[in-house]
Amino acid sequence: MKIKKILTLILALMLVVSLVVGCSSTPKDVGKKEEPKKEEKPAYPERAIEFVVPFSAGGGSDILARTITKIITDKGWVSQPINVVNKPGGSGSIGYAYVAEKKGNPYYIATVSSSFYTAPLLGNSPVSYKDFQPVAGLAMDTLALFVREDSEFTSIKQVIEKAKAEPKGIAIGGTSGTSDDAVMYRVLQDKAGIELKYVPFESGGQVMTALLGGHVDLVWANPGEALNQVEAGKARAIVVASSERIPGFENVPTLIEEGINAKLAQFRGVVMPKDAPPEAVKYMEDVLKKLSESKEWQEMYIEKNSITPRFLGHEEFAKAIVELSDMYAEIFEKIGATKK
Amino acid sequence: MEMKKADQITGVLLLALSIYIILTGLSLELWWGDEGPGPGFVPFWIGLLLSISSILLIISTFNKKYKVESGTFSKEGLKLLFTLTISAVAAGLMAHVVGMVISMGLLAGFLATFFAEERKIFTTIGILVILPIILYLIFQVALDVPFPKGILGL
Amino acid sequence: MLETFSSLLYGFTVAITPINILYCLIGVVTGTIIGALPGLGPSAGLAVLLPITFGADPVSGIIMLAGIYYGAMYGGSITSILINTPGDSAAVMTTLDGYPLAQRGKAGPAMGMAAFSSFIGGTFGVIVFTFLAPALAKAALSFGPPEYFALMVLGLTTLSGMTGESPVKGFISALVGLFLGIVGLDLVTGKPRFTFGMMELFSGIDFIPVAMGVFGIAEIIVAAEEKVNIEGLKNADLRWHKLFPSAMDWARSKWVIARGSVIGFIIGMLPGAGATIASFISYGMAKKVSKHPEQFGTGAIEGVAAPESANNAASTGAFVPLLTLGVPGSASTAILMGALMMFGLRPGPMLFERNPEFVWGLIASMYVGNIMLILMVLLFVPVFVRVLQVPKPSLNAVVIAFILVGAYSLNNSMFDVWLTIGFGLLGYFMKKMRYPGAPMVLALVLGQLLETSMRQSLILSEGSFSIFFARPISAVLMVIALSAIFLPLIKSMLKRVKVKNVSA
Repeated sequence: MKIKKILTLILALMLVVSLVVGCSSTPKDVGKKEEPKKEEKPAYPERAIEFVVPFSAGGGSDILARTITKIITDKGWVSQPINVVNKPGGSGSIGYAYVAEKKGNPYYIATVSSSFYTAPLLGNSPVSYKDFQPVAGLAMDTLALFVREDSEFTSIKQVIEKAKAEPKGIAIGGTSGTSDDAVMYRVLQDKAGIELKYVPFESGGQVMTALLGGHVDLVWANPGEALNQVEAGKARAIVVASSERIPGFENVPTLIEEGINAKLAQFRGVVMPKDAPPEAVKYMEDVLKKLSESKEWQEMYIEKNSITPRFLGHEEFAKAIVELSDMYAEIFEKIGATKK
Repeated sequence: MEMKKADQITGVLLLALSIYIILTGLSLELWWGDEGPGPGFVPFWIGLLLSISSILLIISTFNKKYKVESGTFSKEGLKLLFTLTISAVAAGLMAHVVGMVISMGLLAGFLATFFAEERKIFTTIGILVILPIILYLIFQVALDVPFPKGILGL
Repeated sequence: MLETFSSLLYGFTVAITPINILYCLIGVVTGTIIGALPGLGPSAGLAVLLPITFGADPVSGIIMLAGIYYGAMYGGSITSILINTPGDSAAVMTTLDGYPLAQRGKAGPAMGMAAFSSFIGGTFGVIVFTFLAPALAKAALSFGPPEYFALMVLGLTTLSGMTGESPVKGFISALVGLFLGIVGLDLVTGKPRFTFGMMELFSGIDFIPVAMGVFGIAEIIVAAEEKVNIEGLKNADLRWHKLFPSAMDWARSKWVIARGSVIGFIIGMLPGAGATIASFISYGMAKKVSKHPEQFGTGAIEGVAAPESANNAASTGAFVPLLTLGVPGSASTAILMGALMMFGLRPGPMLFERNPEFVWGLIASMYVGNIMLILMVLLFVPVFVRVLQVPKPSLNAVVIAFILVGAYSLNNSMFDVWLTIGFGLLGYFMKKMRYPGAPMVLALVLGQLLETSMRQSLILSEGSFSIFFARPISAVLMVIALSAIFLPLIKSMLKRVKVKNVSA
């Protein structure tokens, strides 16, 4: 009987002690710099790399991360394993904050997508691009405006005419208020001087369903997302938001060609926490460069997602990130969404 | 504490919550002209309905037909609740120190010992040893969940 | 028709190869186990196992993932019945009658009934899918925001049947659930609501920590405190033939299962609605038309059959929009779609033409998988039920550890662990003070969709509520929902008037 009481006590004590320890110590790997400065074989990577996807499995960023990992691993370009980890929530903020917290640690890398820029501007994220070290940009994605195959619209001009005749007569679907498609809807309204009805949905899939079902008339979507509907003859694109026409949609004019001075191109790439050692950044950049030149990358990612390949090294990518962030900041300022 | 008092207290707490919800709802936009309801619309109505229900709850305790049920909260129950909550929180915090797998094993070992009427040391040790292994095999090896890892690297 | 048969036969030649049968078996077994772990449902199971399938070729990979998907859908019922902890939202309704049955020593028949009704629902779903998928996909598209709103209202009416002793408390519980549902970034404006500056709350409160806290942890504390008589569990007759539902159980459940399968498939096919809502409506309907509705919630076998047939039919129904339109209808199918794309396949209308071996192989594997599932379940139910013979204190302690680990695995974040513990605390007080937990949990799920679809509809109609009655499908659903709300109210008022007259 006594033994049992003592045992309970010990267990309880252990819980309390570790509670105290748990509160006073910080996670071990924060701020841990790479000590070894030996001139031997490359010091990085000497253990597994965690590839953080700030969104749930199956989404665009997840596909990007897993495709990168699969090719790199199959080719054996990195000697250590790369583990893809999903940290979804807070429109990406949680995953980005998690990586930013690992300041100086090159064993954490993350994907970049639009909320990397927009969430901090809207005051929805404690970290911004300034907390990251860009590694490489891989591809440029854009948006195209889709209608149903049997829609009356064949060009953006017709949309504008109708919208001018009937303000708020056309319904446009998109995802939550601050995503790329919502931004483009506002830009279009602003530049063309029209008014549309914006109906937000929870996911890109639901938006597409609403378009096919005739519940909304227009949808801004990544070309890759809608490719299957286009091939099946259910939907078609009437205009793209990139600065040049894009592969797979050669017949579709750009907004600029149509006389609307607006564009949106978004870089998909990879970042590390800020202050990551330059050798590690360089190492990863080289691996990603090899990746971007591989046939597998072309087949498995670029073609499947109708995306424009464009490799940027870490310096150019850093510049591109600042430009994109400024661009979003300007748009948000205009539409009054920025959090002061 | 008897039920009547408990109902009155929760009634008041719920009323306070509902007022908070209503006020927050009002501070967000209720209606956006022809764009339909704003972000405050649904909270406002939920708050309003909740305030009505909590007032009904309070009133019902003064009704003669109100059934008084004896002994809702026992001392033992509160002790259980307290121990479980504290130990679970402790185990959660400890996950960063000794790793998720081990801290959950400790939690289960502790709780099994605590819940049991007849304490058996073998049960406790069994859980302490076997559970972490099972958790490790299922979640770490098979499912590859990135648990917080502790000083032992587990 | 003939063409469909030959395609299906072709599909069987793809599915019935030793390697694909093996993948299917692995998928069904791991799916069931994962579904049975508290907190891990189909979508979590798919997400964590997705990378494992990449080594396989696409057909085998997707066959395995599909097996995980419907295996997990069934597995959720195991913990619902045995330890009152739903593994995923679609299994909440199963706890309402499954757990009371287990407490009365009838865990075996309850699990048997869950298995058979899942099998029937799932198989019905596959058959309908085989012959009608393209036509149904078109019908599903006609569901726009107003129709979803009407469907959610109909779902909410089923809550009225779960209020327990005090209607006011049931109502309060549901309202608190609705309130929890609106926490997070507002979909339309992107403004945070009730998040108190916590990023973790931006994407809203997940259903799983709430359900595991309110049902699982709270139940464990109350059971330990009240020393709930578990003799019933211990003395349960575990001989194999006793696990089958009796002729009497079948007689009570057959129409419930038939209805549940149809409702489940239809609702499952609608993107965004899915298995959870299908299980609510099926349960609510079963109770409404039952001759003894008072038995629901206390251990009626139909109360297990209704949600289980519906959620498995729904999980098959969810393949309709995924494969025919290329749009995922639920979190689980979104992951499946991601998997397809990683295998280099693009789901959508062209899939049937371009990759027939894939589509028909998958469909055929669903027939095979459902049969495997029922065989496996019948073999393993005795094993699962034996879990109850583990001494209660140890079982409870281990279950708590699993619940917390499961909570962590949801988003790989400690925040969900804290939420689960917090809701356990809340759940305990609710139980003690006789607030029913189910309305809160269900309102949480429905509330988010309810608000979204309402606001989408009103944007489309420029603020006019008439949109809900102007379109045929939503008008019909609204009328059914409103009559479900007001008929009992009028009835009870009439009764009250009568009682008053008598007593006066």
